Order: sequence, then C-alpha cells, then structure tokens
Amino acid sequence: MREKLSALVDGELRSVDLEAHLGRLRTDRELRGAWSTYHLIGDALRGHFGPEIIDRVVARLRDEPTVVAPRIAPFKRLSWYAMSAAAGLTAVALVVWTASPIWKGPEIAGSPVASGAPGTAASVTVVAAGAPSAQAKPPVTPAEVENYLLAHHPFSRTSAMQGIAPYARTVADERGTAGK
Amino acid sequence: MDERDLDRQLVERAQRGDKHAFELLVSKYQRKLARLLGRFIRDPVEVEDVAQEAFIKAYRALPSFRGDSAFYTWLYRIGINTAKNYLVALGRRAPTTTEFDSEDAEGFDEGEQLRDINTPESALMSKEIARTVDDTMEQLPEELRNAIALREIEGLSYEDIATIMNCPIGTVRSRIFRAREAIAERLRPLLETPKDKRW
Repeated sequence: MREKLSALVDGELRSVDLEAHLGRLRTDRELRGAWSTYHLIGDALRGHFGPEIIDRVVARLRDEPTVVAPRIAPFKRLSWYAMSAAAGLTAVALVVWTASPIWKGPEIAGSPVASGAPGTAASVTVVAAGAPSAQAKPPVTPAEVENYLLAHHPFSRTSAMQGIAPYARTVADERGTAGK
Repeated sequence: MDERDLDRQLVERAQRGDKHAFELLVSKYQRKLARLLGRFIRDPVEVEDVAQEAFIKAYRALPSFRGDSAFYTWLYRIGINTAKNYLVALGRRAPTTTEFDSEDAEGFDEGEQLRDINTPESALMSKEIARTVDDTMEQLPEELRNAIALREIEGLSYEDIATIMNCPIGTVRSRIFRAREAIAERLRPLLETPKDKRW
C-alpha cells in the first residue's frame, strides 16, 4: 500500500489505481501522514526548508464553506471544438460560394444569356419546365435545349473552353468600352 | 499519469467538495510556496501568515480554476498577489510583475537567493531534520541512494532512472520506496514533535 503511495507521490502510479488510492488517502490518516513525510523528505533533499503551515491551513479550512464547483463535462469541451470546426467550414463554404463564377450575378449579367441573346428565353423555359406548374407550357424542342447548353457552356465545370471563354469576353468588353 | 495529472485529480476532487484532497495539495506545496514568498517578505512569521492566506484564497477560488495551467502555476500567481496586497497594505514596496513572471513558477529555484525563512523556534528543528536526512542518505545502500537522488534531486521519471540504472521500472519504484521508508523511520522521533515546533 505504502509503495503505491510512494509511486503516487512521484506521479508514477497507473491511472487505473489512481482513483482507488486517492479514495484511501481520504479515509486513512496514516497514509496521509506518509504522504506528508514523503514530501518533507523530498523537500529536505532539495534543500527546500520552510515553515510547516498545514495544521493552521487545515484549521482555517474547517471554517470555510465547502467548495462545490460545477464540473466541466468533457462533451462541453468537445462541443466547443465542434462549433469552432463548424464555424470554420461555414466560412470556407461562404468564400467558395462567393468566389465561384457560377454564383456571380454581375458576370452573368454580361453574358449572352442576360443580354437577350438567342437561347435566353429557351433556357428559362427549360428550367421552368422541370418544375411542377399549373400553367401549360409549350413543349421544349431539341433546338431550344441546344441553345440553352450553348449559352451555358462557358459556365460548365467540365468545359474545355472555360479558361478561354471568359478571356474572350473580357477582350470584347474592353474593345467595346474603348470604342465608346 | 504524471505529477500534473495527479494535481489535477486532486483539484477536481476538491472542486467536488473533498477538503482532504485540497489538504494534500497544501501538504505538498506549503514549503515551496513559503520559500517563494520568502524572496520578498523578510519576516518568517509574516511569510507563514501570507502563505496561509494564499492557500485559503486558492481554496475559495477553486471554482474558477479550469486546469489550463498547472496547479502550482495558478497557486504561484495567487501567492504573489497575496504578498503584493499584504506589502501594499503595510506601505512597503511590492514586487513588480517583471520580478516574478508566471513562467518562473514551474522551475522556481532560488538557490543563490537562499536565506532562512524559519522562525527562531523552528530553525533548530529544521537543521536537525536536514542532518538526519543527510546522515540516513549516506548510510543507505548505493542503489537506494542513487534511485531517490535521481528522483528527488534530478527530478527524473522512473523510466529514465530505470535506463540509467539499467534495471526494470518496478525495481526503481521499490528502491525509491525503500529509501523513503528508511529516511522516514529515522525521522519519526522528530516528526512526533508538534508541527508548530518544526518546519
């Protein structure tokens, strides 16, 4: 028992034995005396001489109201980390969403789709046709689908022209601006 | 588990209302804290009073201790603040924050600034205990003496000591325990004196 206490003093007791041994320390005065003596020996070997005030502190502690602090549950700490991670992911998602050309209104405004080019009406029609509606819609023709795909081709992620098409538009815009 | 884990366990028990757990922490750190306070409070009786007050303040503040730092680092700050308030109340110069950074707390060792913080009544007993410990250490078998010296003076873990002494960890644990028991046995007559008459 005292050998385990010696290991406990050094912080070398196995975690599984810790709770049981701390429980014994609570009830066993002799063990508490050994705890005190072992620490005294350690301090003496290190040359740490000082007053022994334990009895005075214990006497005052008896008059103190017992402290009962709310315990910090592990899940609360975990939820703190989870919330931090969720906030970070939300921030990343927001940046990706705002930076993505698909979701940028102004760029779309400059595209043939918004400028009333052929295919605009068709594209709207195609989207609306997929949704349930009480109103009767005219049937979609293959030519309209083709126009829709052509109009949206630059915004497609799989488009091989994605790198070139926006550049071509920019050049056209600059020339148009210069000509005004 | 290391010493910091042990302290945290004791603090958590004290936070759940176990005063005995806090008493174990007082027993462990009383001399270390008193030596710290003795660096800037000259009177040994005042050192005892301030150290006692610091422990009581620490007990009252236990609900606010969240374990972000080591218990002694936290206690160290309370001790410094208690000493500052005490000195200010007496109109004496209080230590500045740069004199006692909290980083000093863990490795606090005032070897070169050592001075006697014992009251005259306890000074003789302190010397007697120190002499008994030294004498017993000299009489211990070499393997016990080396084991406890590596642990208590060098602060090595059992694993490191086992490597140095080329023996199993269980043997290290047994040697340190036997060394402690041998010294405790020689100290027993002295320790049976009332505690307020010794250090």
